[in-house]
Amino acid sequence: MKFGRVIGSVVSTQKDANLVGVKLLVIQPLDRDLVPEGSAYIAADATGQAGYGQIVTVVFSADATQAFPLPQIPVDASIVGIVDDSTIDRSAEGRG
Amino acid sequence: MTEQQLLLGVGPVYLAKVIGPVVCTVKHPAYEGRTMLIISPIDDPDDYEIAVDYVGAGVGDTVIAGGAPGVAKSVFNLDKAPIKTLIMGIVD
Amino acid sequence: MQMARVAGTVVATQKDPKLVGLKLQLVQPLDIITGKESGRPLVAVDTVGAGVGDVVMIVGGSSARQTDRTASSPVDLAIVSIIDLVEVDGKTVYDRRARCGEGNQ
Repeated sequence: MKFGRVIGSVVSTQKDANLVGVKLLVIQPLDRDLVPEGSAYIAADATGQAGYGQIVTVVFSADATQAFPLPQIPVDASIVGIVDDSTIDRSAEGRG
Repeated sequence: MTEQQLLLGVGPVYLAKVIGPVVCTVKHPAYEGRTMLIISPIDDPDDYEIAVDYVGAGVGDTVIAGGAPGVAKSVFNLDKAPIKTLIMGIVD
Repeated sequence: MQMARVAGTVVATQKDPKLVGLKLQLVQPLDIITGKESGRPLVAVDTVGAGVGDVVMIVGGSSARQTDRTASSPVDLAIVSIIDLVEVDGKTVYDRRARCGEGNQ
């Protein structure tokens, strides 16, 4: 599981049937000090509550498919948590 | 053999340092009531992973971490567990 | 998942039996912030009926086999959605109606 920041959203009508109703968000990956690191990607929101600007936790590949109750879902990145401000404040110290 | 020792035979495990907690109020049900910690591999200190604690580890501890598909599911007895890494031992 | 543009079609007669009936497309990955091409083209199985020029979402690894069509096939990249709109930091990166797939140029 890694940190990411929600920086955007993806809208799609024509898609795999099991993706219907799943929110797709654009994620900027972050290092452990919450500094941007690497290329942005699309993640499926398994919390249903993530929104723009929030710092989230993301799981990948086979673990990402486990985030949804369906027997199969074609996702390779899933948001499984929204990080509270308390965590962010602690990490912010390291950034100066 | 303890449950933790059994776990060690299941997937790739590595040594890591616990560097901080992660708090999420909104989270996937599989994470409900569990502690999430940021760990950094001893072999690769620039990398990190957010892991679920299974042994009561704390910040500063050196721990044994790892996981494999299905491990978290069986350890926590869940139908679905989107959890990659577990902390499964504290190094003395 | 990644954003990509369908760049062409791949035809193969001699192939694994579990690939028979699957449509193979050549996809060019795009940077989702700029909309510009990023990296080398890849071959993906199309599960949604995408056409050349469409901007799509691709899913990789074992997750690519999590669709009805690819469930037991030897594939590691699948097109699972046709993208209508991408917004990043309040700006439109891609809008299917406008076909401004090249980003903010």
